[in-house]
Amino acid sequence: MDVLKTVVNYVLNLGAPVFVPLIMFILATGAGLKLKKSVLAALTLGVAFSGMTLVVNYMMDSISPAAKAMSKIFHLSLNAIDAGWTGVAAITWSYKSAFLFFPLLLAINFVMLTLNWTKTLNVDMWNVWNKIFTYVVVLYFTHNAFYGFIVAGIQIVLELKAGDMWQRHIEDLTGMPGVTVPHFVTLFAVILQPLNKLLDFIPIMNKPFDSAALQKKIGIFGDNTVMGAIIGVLLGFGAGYSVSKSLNLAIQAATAMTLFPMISKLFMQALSPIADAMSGFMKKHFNGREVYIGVDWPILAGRNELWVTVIILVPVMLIFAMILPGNTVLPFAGIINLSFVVAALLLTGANLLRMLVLGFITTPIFLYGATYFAPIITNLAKTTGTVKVHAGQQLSWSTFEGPDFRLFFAKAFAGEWWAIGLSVLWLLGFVWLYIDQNKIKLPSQRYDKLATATQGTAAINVNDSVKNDAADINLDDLDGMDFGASSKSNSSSSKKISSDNINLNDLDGMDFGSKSKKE
Amino acid sequence: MAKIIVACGSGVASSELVVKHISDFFEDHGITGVDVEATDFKKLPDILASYDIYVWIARPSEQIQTIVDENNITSVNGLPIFTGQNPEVSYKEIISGLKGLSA
Repeated sequence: MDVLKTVVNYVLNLGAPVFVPLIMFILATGAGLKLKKSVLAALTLGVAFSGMTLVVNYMMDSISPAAKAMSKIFHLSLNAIDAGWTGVAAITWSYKSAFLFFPLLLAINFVMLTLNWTKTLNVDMWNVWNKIFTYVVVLYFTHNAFYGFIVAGIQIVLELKAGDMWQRHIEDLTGMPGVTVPHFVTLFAVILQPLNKLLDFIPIMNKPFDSAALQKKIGIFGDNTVMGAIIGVLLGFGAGYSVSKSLNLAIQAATAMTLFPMISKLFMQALSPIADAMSGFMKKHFNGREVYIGVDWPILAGRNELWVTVIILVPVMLIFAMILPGNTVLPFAGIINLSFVVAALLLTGANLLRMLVLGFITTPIFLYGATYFAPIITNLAKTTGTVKVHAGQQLSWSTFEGPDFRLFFAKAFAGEWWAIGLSVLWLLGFVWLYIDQNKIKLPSQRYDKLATATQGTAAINVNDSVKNDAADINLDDLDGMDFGASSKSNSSSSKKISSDNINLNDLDGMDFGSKSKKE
Repeated sequence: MAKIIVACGSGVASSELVVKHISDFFEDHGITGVDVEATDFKKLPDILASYDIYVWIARPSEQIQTIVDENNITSVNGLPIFTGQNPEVSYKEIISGLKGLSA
């Protein structure tokens, strides 16, 4: 027994960058992966951890002194550096019981589908991390692992119900049937719902707004590299740096912003074998049943309104960070507020003006959430040993995901009465949202003339199907043609080869090394 | 070298998952000479023109569709790969797009 204990302790003490890949290797091998692939997956995970450590430390070393200097000049206390969702996700994945949340998600989804309590089959195994993170938050306040699992479980149930409720709106907004987004960020709609209902009384809020032109104009500012450079140079000037020093900070900030997603990709590469095995298992069991496939939110990202909103909110967030009393977070890597915008897009049916107003009103909630939860993120970074945080410094996430839910439920399980009250109120708010979303008009029919946007996508489809040398087609000569296997992608190019004749078992050894569309 | 691009919100999770699946598919079939990359939607309009095939998981906006049309890019619905429902449909379209490229 003592030997076993020693072994377990030894393994746990290896540190996250070794220990978690080891678990990954065992799981991947167990899932029937070839040795080469499981070794690669495990190593990639270790590399991802080390890489993220590198970037977060680099970011802190370049940003922190400037933030400190600026805080002094403006009498602020911006000592928490923003690692964004990519940074926090990386730290969270290195948590020792992280992998237990895959089976938890599967089990709850399995039971709810079997009992017909939901129609959503969540195959988004990447966002298991936000369940792990909820667990970490609850554990921090309650010191009780069981409560952590309970709250994570509640979150999973609510996400699946949200998936059911959003599906018809998502189909309307994107034109894609059968998919939904059972994502934690959409639950912020519970807070947005009462505000959005108030906006119904303002006539201009019921008008549509064309966002495509605006997106083209401001799109450049949303680029990670450009945004990093702008924030860097502003921060440099704010800190009273010289021009040359500010420009250097701009490049350093741009570097950190550019590298964050590059490192984060490695996590996805490493985790995909597990994710595939898990979602494959679920799909096998519910094959043939009508379910909504739950995926990550980017299926909504084709909507211009989403990008226009987050980019306009960037300066809003920076200004609030400067003027909100008590705020300690300097927005940086997490400044694109994805934690707000997905819920707002779905709730308002892609009404740009409403999204902007709601974003403006609720930005302080995220900053205060980030301030409040900064010690937890800092603590997590320290205990997992992924990031070095110097004394007097904190690590946070300026657009902290679901601050409302996480605060209320974690504190409720810690036995605080105000939180129990607010949790009950929150759940009632969810029920209201659920009922309302099931009967409210679809986004394309909700506002006076919001048809423009959806017509846009519809028009594309029509173009696609007609484009095929339509002039040559004789309408009297169509009898017996079978379009059953063709698809709309049979578009422009005359060199195009029909995909119908391709046999997927007969491709081996093809080499496209010398091919490209440019002749 | 044929080049395929997949886009999502941050170029991290969803697009990378689809990239991984496409790469695995190519590897399983011994298909070589294809670069598969992930990016985010904010960057996409600036870089899309240099790719041969665009695999989308969010319906292309008018701006993206224009770039696709003007540059003779094959656009493929990647949702079947993303959701895991009949991914063969997307793979076939990708292969047909690749075969249509000139040497």
